[in-house]
Amino acid sequence: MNPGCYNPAQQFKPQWAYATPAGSRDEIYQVPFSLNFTANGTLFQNLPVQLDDDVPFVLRAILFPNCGPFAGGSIVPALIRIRDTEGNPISDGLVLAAGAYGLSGFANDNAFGFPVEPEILCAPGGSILFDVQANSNGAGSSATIVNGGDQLTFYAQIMGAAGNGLTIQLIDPGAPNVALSAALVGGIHVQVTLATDGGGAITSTFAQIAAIINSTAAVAAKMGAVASPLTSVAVATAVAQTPLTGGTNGVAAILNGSLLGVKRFSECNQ
Amino acid sequence: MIVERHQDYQLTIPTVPVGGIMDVPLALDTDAPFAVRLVKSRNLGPTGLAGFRFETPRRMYQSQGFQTDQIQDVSAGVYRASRGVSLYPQIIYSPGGTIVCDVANNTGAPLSNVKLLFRGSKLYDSSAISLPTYPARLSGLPFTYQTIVQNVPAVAALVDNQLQIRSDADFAWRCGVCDPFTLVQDGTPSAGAVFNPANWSELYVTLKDESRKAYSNQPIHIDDLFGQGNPVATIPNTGFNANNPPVKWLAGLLTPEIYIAKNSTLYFDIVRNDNPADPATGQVVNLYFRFVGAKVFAQ
Repeated sequence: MNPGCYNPAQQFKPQWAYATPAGSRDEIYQVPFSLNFTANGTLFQNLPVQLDDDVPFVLRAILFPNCGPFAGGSIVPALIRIRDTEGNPISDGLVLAAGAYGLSGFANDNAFGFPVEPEILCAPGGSILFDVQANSNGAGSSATIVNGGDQLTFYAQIMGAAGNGLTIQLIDPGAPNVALSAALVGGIHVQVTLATDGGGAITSTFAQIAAIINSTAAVAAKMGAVASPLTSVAVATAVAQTPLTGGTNGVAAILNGSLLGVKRFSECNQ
Repeated sequence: MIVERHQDYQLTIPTVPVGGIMDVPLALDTDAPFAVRLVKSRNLGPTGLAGFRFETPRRMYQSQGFQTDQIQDVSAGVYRASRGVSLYPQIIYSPGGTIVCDVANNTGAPLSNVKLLFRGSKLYDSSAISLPTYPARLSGLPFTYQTIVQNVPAVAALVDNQLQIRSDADFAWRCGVCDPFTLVQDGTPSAGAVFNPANWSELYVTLKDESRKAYSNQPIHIDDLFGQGNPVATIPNTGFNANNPPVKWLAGLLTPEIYIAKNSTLYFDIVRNDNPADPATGQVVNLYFRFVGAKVFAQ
């Protein structure tokens, strides 16, 4: 078979089996890039990575050292769409972590990148375009109370600094046989009325308080709660109105990566 | 002419008592021979004191003793799950055959939900089944389809989810990735803003072709089909969770690839059985399935 001819039976072949066309010479080439955007959930479109204009570039792999879920530090999950130099998207819309490409470089597990199969012939001087919509790298607001080794954490359902306006208050009703309840007051204040026994003593546990917050629709829309351990039987005490704190908005982020492939030169004597 | 169709056979043993269990049969379908090329275990625990062996079609053991596909992590002092052990050359079982398996258990405690996955191909005569394949002349474009199954609760059975192939080209699906994910945007309600990304533990998938013919005899753990990008927090460096082996950051490779004609549909069923009260693995999640492969344009 002539080099470069297509044999359907051999369509899925290792990339090193791609033959250089007659009259051409391939040289390995790498295109490092950095894309700047804000990691706050906003979509940034058409971020370009321009290729050299001397000869075509054959794209055979993409390496993202810093892209995708759980990468740690300031790195965040991102939805990404990549277009080749002809404008063809290589995914069906924005895909998480660019499909498998964005999973290629986590924690140096795979420094060779994820193969682009089949290879893409890119026009000289063309641009690979990236659309990026990154998860917020800010933080959600929260507040935690403790009893011994048990914890009860309240967290805002609104991401970022906007959650800092929420408050939580645990109220001792000061009366016997009161049932546990939760209410949202003024749109931002969550008030939990603790349950009491016949003697007026508080009986609500951390697990019960988390459950009433998470199951009261109006409250759960603004705030969630989780007990640690999940079945904590630590009994709560009254807590004054306390703001949730620590919420921050996302900030600037950089997506580093490399396009791996070959430059395709024409032999002068052809 | 022989044509191949991706096939997973899985043996699930609810409980393996201390000492082990012998002669557990995995019955194969009667429609085609099965060529097994990889075997992978699940839930054998982190101690390296459990193993398996199985018989060939000639009723001889495939290994001289009990074996494991687990990887010894010397630094952590535990055994971790691998992506399975390749079997080469392949072993071909006849239609309606049986893979007889033994599981040894020297851990001192019963093992539960032990699974042995046998991955390979069914081998059909080309006149017996209609499978789409490449045109005589083509051009290819690397491509990733994504299907998002939203709001999957901790306990769920969602059937006939769909990957619909567009009308412009066939699609050769070669590997898959899936993550539980919800995009968190500043200033918007973001379920799991604190615990994002959420995760799963007991989540299984059954792939089916357009005629709803399954590619496996049982639902297969999602990590074994789609790799995983979101290991639970305890896994990466410090622990071992038998239900969520650290197969992180590796796409699930399908061999052979599944060729899907344009305008047709791949179906998949999802079964999840997690603890709703566990914030790490029990939250409602959006599942981002990415189907990585190539568009195939006829010319």
